[in-house]
Amino acid sequence: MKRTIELIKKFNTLVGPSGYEDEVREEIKKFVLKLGIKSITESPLGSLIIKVGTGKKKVMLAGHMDEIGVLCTYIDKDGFIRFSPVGGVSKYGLIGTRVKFINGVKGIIGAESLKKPDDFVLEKLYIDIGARSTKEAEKLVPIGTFGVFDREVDVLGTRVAAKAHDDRIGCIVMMEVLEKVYKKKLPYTVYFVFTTQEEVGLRGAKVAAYDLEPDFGIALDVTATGDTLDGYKMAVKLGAGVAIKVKDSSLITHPKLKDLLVKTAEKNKIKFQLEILDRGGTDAGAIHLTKSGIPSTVLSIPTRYVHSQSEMIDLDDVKATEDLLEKLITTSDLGNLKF
Amino acid sequence: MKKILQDLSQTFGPSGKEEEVLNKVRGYFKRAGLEVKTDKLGDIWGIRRGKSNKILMIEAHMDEIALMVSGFEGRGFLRFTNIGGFDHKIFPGLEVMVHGKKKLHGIITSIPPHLQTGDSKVAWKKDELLVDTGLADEIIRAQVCIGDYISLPKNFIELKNSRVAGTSFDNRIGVTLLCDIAQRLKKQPEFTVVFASTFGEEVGLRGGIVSSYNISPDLGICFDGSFGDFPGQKDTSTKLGGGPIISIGPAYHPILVEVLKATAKKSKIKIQEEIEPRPGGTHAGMIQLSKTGVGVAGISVPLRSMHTCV
Amino acid sequence: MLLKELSNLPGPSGYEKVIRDYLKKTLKPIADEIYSDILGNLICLKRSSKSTKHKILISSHMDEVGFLISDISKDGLVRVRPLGGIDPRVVLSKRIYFPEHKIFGVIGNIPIHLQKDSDLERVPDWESIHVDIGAENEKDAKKYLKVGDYGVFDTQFKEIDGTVMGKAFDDRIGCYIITELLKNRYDFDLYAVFSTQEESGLRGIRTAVDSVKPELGFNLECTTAGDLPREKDISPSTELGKGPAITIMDRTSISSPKLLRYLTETAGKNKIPYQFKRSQTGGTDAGYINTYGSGVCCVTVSVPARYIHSPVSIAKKSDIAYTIKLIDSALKNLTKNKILPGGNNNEKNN
Repeated sequence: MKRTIELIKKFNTLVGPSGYEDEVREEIKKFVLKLGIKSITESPLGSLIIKVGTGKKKVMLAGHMDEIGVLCTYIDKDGFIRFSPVGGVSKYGLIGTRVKFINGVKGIIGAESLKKPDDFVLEKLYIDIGARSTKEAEKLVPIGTFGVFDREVDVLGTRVAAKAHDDRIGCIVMMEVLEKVYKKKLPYTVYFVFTTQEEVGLRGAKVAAYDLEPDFGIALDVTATGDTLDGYKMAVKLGAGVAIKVKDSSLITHPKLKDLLVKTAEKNKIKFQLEILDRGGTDAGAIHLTKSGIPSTVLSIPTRYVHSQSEMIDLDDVKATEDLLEKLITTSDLGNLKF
Repeated sequence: MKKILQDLSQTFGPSGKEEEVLNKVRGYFKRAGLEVKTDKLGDIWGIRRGKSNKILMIEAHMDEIALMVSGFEGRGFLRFTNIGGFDHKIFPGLEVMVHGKKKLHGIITSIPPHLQTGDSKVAWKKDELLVDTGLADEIIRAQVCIGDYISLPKNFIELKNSRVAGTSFDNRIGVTLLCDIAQRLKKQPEFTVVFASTFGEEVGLRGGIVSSYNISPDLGICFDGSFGDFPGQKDTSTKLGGGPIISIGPAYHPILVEVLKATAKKSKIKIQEEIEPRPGGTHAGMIQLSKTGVGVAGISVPLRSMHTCV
Repeated sequence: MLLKELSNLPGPSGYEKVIRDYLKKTLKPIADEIYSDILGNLICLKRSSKSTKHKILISSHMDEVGFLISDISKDGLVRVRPLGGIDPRVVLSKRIYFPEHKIFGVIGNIPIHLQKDSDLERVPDWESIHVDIGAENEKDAKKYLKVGDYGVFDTQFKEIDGTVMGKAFDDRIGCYIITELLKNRYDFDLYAVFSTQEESGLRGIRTAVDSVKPELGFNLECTTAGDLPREKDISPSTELGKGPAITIMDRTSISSPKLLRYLTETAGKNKIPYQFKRSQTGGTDAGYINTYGSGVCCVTVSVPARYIHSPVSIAKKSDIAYTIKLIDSALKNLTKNKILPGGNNNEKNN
């Protein structure tokens, strides 16, 4: 648990907007190299692919390294920066938020005067990096610089709030499981794929799946919850275990695969819940339509306030996700599935 | 043909769980003497080998729109989500079937006029509607879990003028045509014909993408349902009884369209035309883009009240 | 001038035949191989000057926004639906051309005398927009046209003092640039793709890229210039006369950071002015080049034009010339600068 918290803290200081995931990739690479694993490759779109096991069937695990963020698009005469969102950025909660650009420069999001609620649109917001002129700002943050939101990690009992659980927590689950299994004899060839550009259209996973042609795809990602005050109507609760994806807008899990996941969780007494997400998709959606079709699913980590700067997860759910993933790739049931 | 349509349209096969329909189709394909194959995600295809290796893919999606249990609200009430596109105005007062461990009857909630407090001119919102099974909470939780499908009533009614009404004619009518044509195609054709019945169209054209990658056809013809005439319905010129609808637009190969039209003229078959200025909303649009490209044509049967249960 | 011809010719999304035939004829003498696929994409190969066989893709789309006839009314007026994004506010009182049967038409409007004040504020819907081809009635109209026929804006190209005006600059300017570049030979196989159906959802490129299977892609576009007079100091997307606009990110792709850096360095070295495209809306063919197969590094470079997707756009010849120079310099030095995929990226994963 302590180790997980440490990783969460470390990975939530990294800057990894879609397309510019370099910091995250380097940190994961370090972690993997330390384990002594050598079979590391990178895809043209920047995904990191780690291969373990020698089984005949191939399983692709996908957790995305990228996070939502901003892109500097214009600097006005006073040195204020206009920006575009990268991925599904919600405007609520942006005012006063800190931004960190990939070159380390920090800034604050401000807003033009908003007279009525309709005025509140992204176009009215700007980033103030403390510059006094266009020139000064351009030197610090040239047009075209990507950035992310910046917020420290807070541990609240077994729950942890951070800016980019989506999807650093998926990456951490994969890293911790990788650490547990890489020395074992696995019944499959397992590709741990740390993908890119998920937030802008599931792109990294799509090309990686095309390249690897796996027999199964499993994405590790966060999902929303329906357990907050008068919130979104959804059955998933924080702390109620790993969420097994039934349906989202990109995927309906094959019933046989879903049943296997449920059985595996029940047999091993892993806390789980079934998940239907009405809006939103994950890397699994892109993987399952690759080439001739690849049965795929998602193990989701329930997360409150997704795409805000304070996403909240429960460490028990993380543990359950890791347990279920470990069981899936170390036992032979998955490979025995017939479609 | 009516029998096949009745049989197929009364079988439940929502997107993601097309198995029952798939098994029925398998039966029809086998009886027609086709070589049958399936893929991992739930497509089925029947092959009639021809004299050449060129492949004509004739496709119809077999999934239908449906509902799915998404949560428990206590006292036997279930929250639901939709699989595919619905006008939720058709829901209040609808009898449905929850496909849990056992099949359970349910009714979608409404409020009688006597108890209404809000504005009755406003349709109920999707979130306000629930499925009522009338069962105790323990019973329902033991029988049903999140992700179970809910089907709409499966009636099949013969109306006047050889017209029929039923559920999921979009696109069991297409699948019916596949099965019927497969039976008629007794002679060895010039080229190989692959009859493909596909999954997941209603939730994102999924089967079209995967099956055309697998089959690598040279040409494709897609059967689907399209709009019939109905009062107040703008933008449709196609009519029930007006004959098959041939689609025109960037997704459809102009030469193939001409061939279809010429064939219809020669055989004195009445046809209608429909334009599709925004391609990509149907399986035809996806099959066209498979690998290095496929010339496709779309033929639709006019249906009234599509995406409802009549 | 080639650009004039390309701009004037009709090529609505889905009916690019006229453009394809014209380009085929023009490029035949200089291309090593030229073919089209079932979606109508024109693919043109210019072989490497060396024995190295790297495949580089350069693409632009032939199609323009246009119309599809949806209905012919009893009185012989023609109703249309847009192919691609056309704002109905720009079509009233404009000319339309239906290339398949070479028919001209005008989009009529109710005289102001007969309109109420409230009508003046109203945006017309496609149902109420009528094209008059001079037919007497439905039967007469059907002699010339049928439902499903394609149409385009009818606009003549003009050139005034370094400024060009015309229709379909999006993306005939891209096509024009590629025809210029194909006059050169580089030290890799250059595949030029003139794609179809970009305006109807980036469709043609998907099959073209599968037949080329490139290692790297440059997508040439014509993009929105937003440099109209304005009150506020906000981003104009791109500006005329400031050189090629390089895309960093749009709705369908994030340009490869490596290529982005290479292009800006190339521009710097060769003293070519450039700008970044500062709005992120809209998508281009790059989206499907980028995510093809195992992934292809790609960047989009555009010539800015005002009023694209309307009957007439404005662009600067200097921007076009600088774009040609930028891409040419970039292609020339590609191999030398080791931009081609290699090393780590080429390792097979099994």
